[in-house]
Amino acid sequence: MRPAPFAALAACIALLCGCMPHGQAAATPETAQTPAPAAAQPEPSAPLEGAEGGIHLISELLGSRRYEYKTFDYQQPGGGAMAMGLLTVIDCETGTAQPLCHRDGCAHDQPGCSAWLTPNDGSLITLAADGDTLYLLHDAVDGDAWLEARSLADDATRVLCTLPRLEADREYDWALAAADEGTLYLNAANYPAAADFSVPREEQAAVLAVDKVSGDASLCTNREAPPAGSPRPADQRVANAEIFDAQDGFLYLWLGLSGDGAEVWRLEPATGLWSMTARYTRTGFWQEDGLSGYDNRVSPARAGRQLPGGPLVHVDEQAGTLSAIDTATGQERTLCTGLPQAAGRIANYDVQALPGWYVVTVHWLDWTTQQTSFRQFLIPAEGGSPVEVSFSQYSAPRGSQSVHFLDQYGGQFYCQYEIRGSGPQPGIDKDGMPYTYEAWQLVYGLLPVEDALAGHGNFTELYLE
Amino acid sequence: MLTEMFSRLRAMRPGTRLAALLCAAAVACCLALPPVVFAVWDGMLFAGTHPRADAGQAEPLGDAARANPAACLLYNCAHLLGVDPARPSGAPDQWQARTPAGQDLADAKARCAAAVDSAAALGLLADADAARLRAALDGSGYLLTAQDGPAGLTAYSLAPGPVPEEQPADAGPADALTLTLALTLTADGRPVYFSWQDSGRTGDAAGTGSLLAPALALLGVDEFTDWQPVDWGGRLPGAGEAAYSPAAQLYVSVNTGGGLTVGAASMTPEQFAALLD
Amino acid sequence: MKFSTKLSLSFTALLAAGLCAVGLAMVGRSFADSLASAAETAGTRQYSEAYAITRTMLAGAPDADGQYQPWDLAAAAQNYAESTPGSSLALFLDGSASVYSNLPQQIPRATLLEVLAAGREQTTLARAGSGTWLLLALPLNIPGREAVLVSACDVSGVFASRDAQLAAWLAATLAVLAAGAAASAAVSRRLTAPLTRLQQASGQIAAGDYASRTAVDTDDEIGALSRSFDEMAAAVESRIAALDENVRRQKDFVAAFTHEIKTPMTGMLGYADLMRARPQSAETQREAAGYIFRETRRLEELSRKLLALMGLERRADGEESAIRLCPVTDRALFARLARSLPDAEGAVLEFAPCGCTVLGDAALLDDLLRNLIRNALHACEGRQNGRVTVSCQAQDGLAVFTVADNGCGIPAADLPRVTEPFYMVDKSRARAGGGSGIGLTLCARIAALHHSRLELQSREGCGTTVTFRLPLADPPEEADHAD
Repeated sequence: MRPAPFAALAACIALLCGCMPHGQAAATPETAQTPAPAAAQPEPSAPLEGAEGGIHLISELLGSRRYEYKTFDYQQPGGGAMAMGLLTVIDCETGTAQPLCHRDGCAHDQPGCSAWLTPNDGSLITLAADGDTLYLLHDAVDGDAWLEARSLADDATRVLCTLPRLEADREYDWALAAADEGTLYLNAANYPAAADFSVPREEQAAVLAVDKVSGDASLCTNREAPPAGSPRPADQRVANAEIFDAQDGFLYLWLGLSGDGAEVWRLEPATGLWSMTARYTRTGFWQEDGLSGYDNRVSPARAGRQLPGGPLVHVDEQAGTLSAIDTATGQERTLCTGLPQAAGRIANYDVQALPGWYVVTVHWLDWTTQQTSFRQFLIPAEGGSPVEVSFSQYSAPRGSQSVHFLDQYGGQFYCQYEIRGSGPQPGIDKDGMPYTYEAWQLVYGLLPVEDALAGHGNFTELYLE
Repeated sequence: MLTEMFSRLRAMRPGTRLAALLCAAAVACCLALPPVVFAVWDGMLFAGTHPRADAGQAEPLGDAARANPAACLLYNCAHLLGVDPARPSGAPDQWQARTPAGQDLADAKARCAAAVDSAAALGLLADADAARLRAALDGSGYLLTAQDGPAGLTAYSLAPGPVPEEQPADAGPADALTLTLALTLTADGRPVYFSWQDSGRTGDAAGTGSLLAPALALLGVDEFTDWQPVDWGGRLPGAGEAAYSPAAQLYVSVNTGGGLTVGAASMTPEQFAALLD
Repeated sequence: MKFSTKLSLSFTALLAAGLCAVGLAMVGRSFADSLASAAETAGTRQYSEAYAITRTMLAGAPDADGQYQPWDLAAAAQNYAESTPGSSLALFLDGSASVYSNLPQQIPRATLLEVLAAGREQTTLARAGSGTWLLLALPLNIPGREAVLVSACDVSGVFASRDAQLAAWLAATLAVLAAGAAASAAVSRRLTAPLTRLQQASGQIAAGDYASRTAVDTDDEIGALSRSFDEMAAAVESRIAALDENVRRQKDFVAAFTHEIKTPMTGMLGYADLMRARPQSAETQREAAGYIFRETRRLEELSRKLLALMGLERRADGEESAIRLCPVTDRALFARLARSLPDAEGAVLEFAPCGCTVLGDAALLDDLLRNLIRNALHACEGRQNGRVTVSCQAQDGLAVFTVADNGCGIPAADLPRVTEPFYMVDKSRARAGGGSGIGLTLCARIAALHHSRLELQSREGCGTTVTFRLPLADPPEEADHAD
């Protein structure tokens, strides 16, 4: 090559190199609100202190992966449709979603695939992963519930145990909640079986411990027994009970009471000792047109993972503030102020706790037009100014709703961000009459945190439900 | 220069001269060929019509079906509007509910009565049933509501009204209000959905023989001659008679369980085949 | 026409054909793709138009007879057209009744009717004014109405783009052809330059410059042809040189022969005329007769040697059979010579064989030695202690025959020419002794036939030594003894 063109080419290359961005200097964009500093995210995949061998919450999330289960209709070759279930593993690190099947050469499109399940009629399946095992909780509507353990390495499945109907006249709301090295802990909240649903039922909090190997199940306690000296108002009873945190060898249960009260109870599974650690009273009561609620309340935010300090939040919809309460110490710290007021029946806060972030969705209902509207905010976990995001999704039958932020991992939010319709489809009813329906799919995917803060909807589709 | 060229040409041997001229001619032809080709091509393009590349895409409705108002309307309901004439509740944003009153009520009752009469005339209703339906329309025990949909569709629903707290003094044995009537009519009063049910009746409505032909006539789609009966057999034991016409792209069903239901929906042959699987 | 010109013309014609094909393919492909893309876009857009207009219509209700009124349809089409920039459409009802149109006015109605008649599965291209339009018809699904939407898509740009591409192609082709023709002319001239040199060399050789060469050193067929031509020229040159030398030798031979014949003939004629003219004295008659006798014998010797020389020439040329090679011993050879040669007056003749055996023609070797001895004896005439020694010695596988005398010797200037025919150092003395001047020529020829040559060494006044060498051979079973 002659010298002159070569020199020009080299100059162009040098110029282009000089124009390329240097590292991530421009990562934090300007937003409509005061810019929030990029939070130093705790590594969510790293086990929390005490989780290794210590008691910890379990869910369908494990590290970068989440395990999903959905049902679908399989058109059999000979005719007719058969309801099947499909296990899927979604990896937020690699951005992939694939059937949970390790069979060589399996195309995952036929019964016989390890990811395909044949659900019993009416059973509801929930998942939780811990270590190298996926636990499936089968809860039949009219029957018993049982627990399956499935190896994540080779799909080997065994029935761990049939969850005992501890008292014949009671119904149990089983839920996989926590685990330690050798034991699973299930929420065993229960209520009278023949309850008159016109009268609010009274739940009893309970925790079932199941040995991971033998499947032996035992109740950590039978009934909630408030310790002496901690009287509960007589008109308050347990309306709901859930395990919401696990720290330092303790399980923490949230007991929502009828009326304005709520309690936090701590259970030590090793000893079976229960103790109440906090009692909260909701304020800002409102009641209108048969609806009622509280504008100032403490409750566990919805969280998919175990979070440092726990998911308890204090919401004040009148003041527009959000605070985090440490489960173990009860210490409260303000996360943010300046949220829109959402007092009364027409508005409320919906709080989701994610690793490194809180998502607050403020809903309003126009009582006249019955139209809903919302505003959504991202708040750093260590506290700061809320960043409003304006993502929404629309479907004809459901109207406009917010994007649901479900998890954060590796700098990306896992969201349900779109409702996709299949268009009008014809169907035939049992009486041979035609009808039209539209199939809707919920679309899940990833959104980089930076894009979310900047309002850029660069969603990457991962999973359809 | 030209003179010199000509003189050189003349000086060449005949064979060489011919070759030189052929080369020159070849170059000239090559330069002139593309414009000539495109001129001819243009002539062919503008001379006649050409097949449309996307013929059939997104518009599967045939000419015969388009010419039939009922088939065309039902096609639009299924593929354009996304409404089910038989189930206004499935698309609440497209239907406007109202409770007819006054003249509107009278007109609505008249339209429903006309539809009932048409069905009876075609043999879809027994005379007694038709009379009871007319009486229900005229009476005060039933409430007639309407929902106005797109394309001039109106869905009427006749159902037992609220039970009065006090019975009239001269009331005889309480008449059981067991009838329900659901009609979806086009702007010109033709039914696209007809259903009456008698909750006090056990078993199928009276009538022997096939009601498919009268149902097709009621819907106004009997002009199509390629109706293929559909036998649901054991898959849908509760199904009545049904038929599909590829030309009309319509599926029509008649069910006499508890009364009479005549329904129709537009679907492409591929969609129908998928339902049969 | 020059070969380079033919090459250039052919290349230009092929280049033009190639450019034509490329231009047709590329411009045509681009045009077809653009037109298809425009048609697809127009089709998709028309579906959107139909969808929107139909939805607008169906949002409202028809009349009590279930009919949508033409003005409602027109209004729906108009609303869509006005709210959608760039749309160009017309709505026809019940065949050919236009209820709305914002199509270009230049499109004739007849064309629109043709579009309607063609139906939904055909497209039509039409030129209207300065534009070109793609027309499509699509029936609308309006219940109770035969409504057809005709959409027009402006594809003038596609045709204009094609024409521009064609013009660019033409300009580029002309430029490429011109450059290609010039380049091909230069290259073909360079390639055919060796042929020109070949032609020039041929002309020079034909003109007589046999040393002319093409000097083309390429590795192709022309180089091979040039090398072959040069080899042919070199062969021709050497052949002509040999022929020239032959002719010169023949001329010299004829001249010398003529002279040798003429000289004694003149003397013989003189003496014969003297004797014929008048009676002479007996002494004069004896002298004249003796002269005539000597010259006659010399002529007779000359003719005999000429015949022998010619016979040797024919053998050398292969016209007769080659010499007969047989084992010959020097003793036998010398013995035969000693017996047959007369006594030399005033000179001593010695033979010194060594017992060598050679392969040769005994008779020719005899002639060779005989001539050499005679010359040596003549050289010793009138010298005191004249001695002629004939010897043979074996040396390095060769038998070296030597005839040495101590006679008058040969001047150095004459030494190289003594083997030329009729060349005599002292003609008068040689003729007086009966010499013909071709004896040494014969000896040289005989030596050449035996693949040897005469080596002469002489000092004037001291003597001459003539040597020739023959390869030694095995002694014969029966020696060729002198009889």
